[in-house]
Amino acid sequence: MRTGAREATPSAALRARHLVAAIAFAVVATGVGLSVGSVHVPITAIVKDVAWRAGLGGQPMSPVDAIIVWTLRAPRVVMALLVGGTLAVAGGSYQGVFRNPLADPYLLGIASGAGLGATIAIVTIGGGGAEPGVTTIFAFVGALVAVALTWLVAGRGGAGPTTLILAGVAVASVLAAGQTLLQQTSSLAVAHVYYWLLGSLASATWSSILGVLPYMAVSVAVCLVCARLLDVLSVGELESASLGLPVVAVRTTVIAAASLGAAAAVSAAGLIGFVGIVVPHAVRLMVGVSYRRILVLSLFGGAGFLVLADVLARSILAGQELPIGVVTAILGVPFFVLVLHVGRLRLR
Amino acid sequence: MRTNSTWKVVASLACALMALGAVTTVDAAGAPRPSGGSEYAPRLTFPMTITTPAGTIHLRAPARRIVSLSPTATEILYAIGAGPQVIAVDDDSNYPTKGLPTTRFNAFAPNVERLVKLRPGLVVVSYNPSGLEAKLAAAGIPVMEQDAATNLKGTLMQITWLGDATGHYARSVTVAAYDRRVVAHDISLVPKRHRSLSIYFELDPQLYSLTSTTYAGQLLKALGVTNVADKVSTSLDGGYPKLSAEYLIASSPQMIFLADTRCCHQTYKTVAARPGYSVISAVQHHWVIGLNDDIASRWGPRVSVLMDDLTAAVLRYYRS
Repeated sequence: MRTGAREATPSAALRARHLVAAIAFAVVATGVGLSVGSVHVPITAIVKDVAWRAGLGGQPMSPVDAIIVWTLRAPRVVMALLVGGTLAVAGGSYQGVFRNPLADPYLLGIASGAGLGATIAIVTIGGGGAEPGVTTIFAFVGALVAVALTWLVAGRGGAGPTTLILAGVAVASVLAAGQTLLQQTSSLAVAHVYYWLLGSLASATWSSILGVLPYMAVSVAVCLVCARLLDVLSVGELESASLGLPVVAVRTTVIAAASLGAAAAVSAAGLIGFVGIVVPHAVRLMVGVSYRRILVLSLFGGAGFLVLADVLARSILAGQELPIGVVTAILGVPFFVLVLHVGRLRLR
Repeated sequence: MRTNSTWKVVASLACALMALGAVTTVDAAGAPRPSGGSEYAPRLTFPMTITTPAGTIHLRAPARRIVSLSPTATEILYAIGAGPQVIAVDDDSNYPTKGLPTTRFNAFAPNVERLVKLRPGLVVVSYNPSGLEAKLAAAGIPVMEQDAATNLKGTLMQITWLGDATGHYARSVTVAAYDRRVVAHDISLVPKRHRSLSIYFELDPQLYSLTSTTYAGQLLKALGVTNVADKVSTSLDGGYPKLSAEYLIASSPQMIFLADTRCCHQTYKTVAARPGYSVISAVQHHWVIGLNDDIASRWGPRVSVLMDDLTAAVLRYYRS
């Protein structure tokens, strides 16, 4: 299936304008993310504090505000930037490699694998409590194992996109069943598993960021490098092969890279849906179907989107937190409807 | 202040109170019992009809083969002396620590065929999964549903209902009266001039808490503390809001109760190690109180133990 209807018309000026806008969006979202929350800290106070810390005058915040902004918010804002950007790039890459607009980063069983891994950690080790890092590691390994299983079930690299997707569905079903079975053996762990599945950035710390950053960086870098190849692949496998594109190698590389990033994102923040679908679609609507633009702009768009979603998650109910997966879903569904509506209008 | 909460201690203390005439009636606690010495004799003769908020059950005789699919009910049954009649319990029942039957069921998905085969005279549940009650009723097995009590009155009622059903009415009244008396006594220990302590009650490390509308919240409120979760609770959370770390730090409660010491291994050290928590008053002054998760979440006869723990912490704070 072809993605989008607008023709790609490369233009350096246009790309620069869009890039600046996307970066500005992420920067503004970051400012909002640092300023807004249960305790409102004016952005001017944050700027003055930064200046003071840099020895450029300014004025320090109160100790409590400083802890809230720099110890609590800053890590989760950075984690939101990383997770949002990675999921959006991974989603866009999946859509390109599968040539399917409904592809998302969880297509090959990553969500189920991570869910099973996290459940194993929570049930058997108590990862939901004392050691959140344990849950992260188990979820990461589970996600990668799921993708590997899908790859093997589909017949390795030679399998076509449809076979891979079906294998992903099968593997996801089995792993989800395993997760359910495990949950049933430990009713006390259900709440922890449930909460993890809904996603949260509340446990983000600088050390957890450093733990997932290398995987996300490699993932995003590889996907961006392969963007031009995805543009070639978008004309069809046979056609692109006739143009000299090593289809299997490209597909394998992109899927491996996108899966690595998605696995890292899921393990760090739980199952956050819709970012991987919504953001690339939004970018596609604005700048056309070229993956060279979609993936770069999705990186910043996804980053800013998730920061704002997290702001909503911790601000809608004063003093409380909503699961961020709920917020992205609430924002994502209306957007999906809008995308479908616009798509229909264009077809007419 | 007691720390030992075995049933022997409960029973012996209750008997002592009875001997002193201190235990007279539990009517104020909600149980519609007559006053005077006759209240310690079986109230009704069998066959008996017991009506609870969850329904009505009919018993021809005291239940001799009991299956408890509720940890709270299990605690009640053993506290009132019906332990020898219990033939199976759910997987989460872990108190008393000795003497529980080895036959276990998953309370959320019990095997009904296996349950029926045990030929129980009474099944106690706190949850009715997949129409369990109807299936057992069709097999002629009485089921008493006891949802989690929402206040002390509810606990005392549940204790006496099980006393009725198992033929241990007198003991159940004793246990209920003891719990009620301990709670009332603990409340009286906190001087009214000391009513300014702010607290945070943690249910799990994700910062789920409870407000003054909940069972434990009511106990805390009776001790005159201010619960920081009250300010942010909405009608959506049912009294169990999930706080944000930002709000908690900004609120800086003077005391933190941890009801996640067992499930999630939380201690003063783990709380103090959380990012930003070092500025919270309770952490700075080491007023982080660990509670037994089970006692803090099962509204059975050990509610008096929980109240003792809460009261002891509050009194220590004011005397420090």
